[in-house]
Amino acid sequence: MTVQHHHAAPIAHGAGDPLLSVKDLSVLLFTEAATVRAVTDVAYAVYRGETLAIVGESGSGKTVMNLAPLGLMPGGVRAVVSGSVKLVGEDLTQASEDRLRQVRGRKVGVVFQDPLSALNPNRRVGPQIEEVFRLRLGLDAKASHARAVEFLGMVGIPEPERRLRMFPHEMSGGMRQRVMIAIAIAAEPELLIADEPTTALDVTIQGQLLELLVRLQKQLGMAMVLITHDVGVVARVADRVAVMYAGAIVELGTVDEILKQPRHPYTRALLAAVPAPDAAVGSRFAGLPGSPPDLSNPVVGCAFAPRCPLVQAECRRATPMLAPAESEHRAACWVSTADRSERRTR
Amino acid sequence: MTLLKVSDLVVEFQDGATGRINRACNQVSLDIEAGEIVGLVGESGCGKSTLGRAIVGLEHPKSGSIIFDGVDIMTLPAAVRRQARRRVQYIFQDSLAALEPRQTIGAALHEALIISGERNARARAARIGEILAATNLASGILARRPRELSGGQRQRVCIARALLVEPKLLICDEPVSSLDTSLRAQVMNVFLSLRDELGVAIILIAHDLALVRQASARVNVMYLGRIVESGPSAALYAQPLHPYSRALTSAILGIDPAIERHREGTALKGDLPSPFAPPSGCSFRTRCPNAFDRCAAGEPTALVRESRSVRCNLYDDSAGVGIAAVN
Repeated sequence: MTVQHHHAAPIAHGAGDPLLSVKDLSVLLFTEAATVRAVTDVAYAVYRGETLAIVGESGSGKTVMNLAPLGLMPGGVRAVVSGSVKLVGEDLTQASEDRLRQVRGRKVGVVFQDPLSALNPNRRVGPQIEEVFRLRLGLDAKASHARAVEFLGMVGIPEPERRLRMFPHEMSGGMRQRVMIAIAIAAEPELLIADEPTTALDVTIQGQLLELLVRLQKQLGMAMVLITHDVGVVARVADRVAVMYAGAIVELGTVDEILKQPRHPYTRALLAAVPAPDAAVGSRFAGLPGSPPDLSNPVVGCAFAPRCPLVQAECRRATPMLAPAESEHRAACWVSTADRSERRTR
Repeated sequence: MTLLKVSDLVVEFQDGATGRINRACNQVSLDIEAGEIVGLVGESGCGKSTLGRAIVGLEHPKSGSIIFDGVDIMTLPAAVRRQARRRVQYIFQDSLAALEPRQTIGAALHEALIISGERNARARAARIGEILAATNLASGILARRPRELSGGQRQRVCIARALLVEPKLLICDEPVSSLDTSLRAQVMNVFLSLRDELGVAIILIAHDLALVRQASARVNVMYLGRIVESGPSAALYAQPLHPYSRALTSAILGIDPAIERHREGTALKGDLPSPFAPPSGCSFRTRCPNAFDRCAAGEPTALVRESRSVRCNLYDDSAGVGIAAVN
């Protein structure tokens, strides 16, 4: 496998089986108050060594789509997953809880937005990392300590021996996130899922961590799924991009296609809403009116129609879906040009 | 007309366990004109929120002065300070926490007007109608409770409530950072209209540097309790003088993958030092790519040239370097 893929577009996928292949994935969430159709009929693939960015706003389903099939849902929320999520041929929707735990430890690493809640506040960082090596790789105490020191160095933490004796709250946000990354890559997984890994951090620290993720990904030959709402982060690290809105993937393509020739009106609005570095000082901000639909009620027609500047009668009647073709730029929209949305009823 | 003049403001916090002092605002000076939007940027922990909170009276400065609308607030007896500050309002990041969950929006707005002395219900309703229009909210939201609104609507309700007392200055602390990108414009454009139509001045505290640039006429950059640079935002972003401002502005990610994917290295190494034990001399020197021997010894003074100001030894006359760069 080559790791020279980085941003050499177009990426040679289609050649070779995908590492992760997701088809007809839907996720229903049962909360106390309501049943939410968080993800509806999504299909995508992740190829070895690439970075797929999943971009979308709060409630778009980007986190649920990635974490529910791995059995990772916040407490109190029951998720029902349907469809197939194949990791190297193994369908995770059919896997037992024990099996999912093994997959999470060894094949898939996960980095969350908030490392403070992912680390145990009452234990020093060292034992928490060493435990990962003992449990996942079966190393003894001495070997796992040595590995912990090695991995902290690998994620750019100076004086690792001293840091291992610290409690999570004694570290800065950036350093805690580095610890989380060290834990996530401990078993050298084939896939790293990073859920808003830099959102809680200052822009200066964000830059350091993105650089680290890109470096580790090349070094370990991992594929990465980066979940983010930040278009700048997408431009910095992604090879391909899936744009999500109201539980569905509304546009899929290479990073250049999505950011330079966006087709879906939502993608266009999202890009326009990023303040330009040369915008006139004092000029009005671009954004969207309204807010996304409540997914605890059924959505009829295109979910974006109520906020869409290009809306037509057709959009309120039938739901546009992404055409099933592999590896080409596609948008789920009846109106936008050069598009072949597939007509399907839900 | 200068609406607010903060001079040499010092705010300190003491760590209860160790007794160490964190000087969150260290001799900070800041001016704002009536109807002007001024940005305040810097990393978490640099003191920008403390400065905002001190201006509105949520922190107690150790020394310095705050002159608002011609009145030196800190010399006033405590009893009349609140009255003097009535026309300064604070907008918090978390709009959900800022509103009473069980109260309808209408009740909250009426209550705010009753507290400020408006007894006539019809007059209150008329005033609320005006304010909803100014914040681009429909009257239907009055019957709703905070949780039933979107984040963008809720933040506009907080702004609406602040506007009821006809403030001259709004201090907005990360007002849109919990909102999705596509919703931020709903709030930011309200700020721009308030400035244009009501002449409200705004201090915009935010970590989104590109957003601050677009909204603010002038920007102040803070580092470890000091304002290290200030100037007109277009000029400051185009040609930042302080090495810290340079690092911050260069860290802004654009949306062109052809440029961003080739980014190499990061402008700034390491984390912010502990504010309880700041470095000697220039507090930025431990992360500064341009630091030289002088920086450890002496704290730089602010050099002012026309509309710009920078606090860095690189631009100090007596060092004989770089002064020309300011103009």
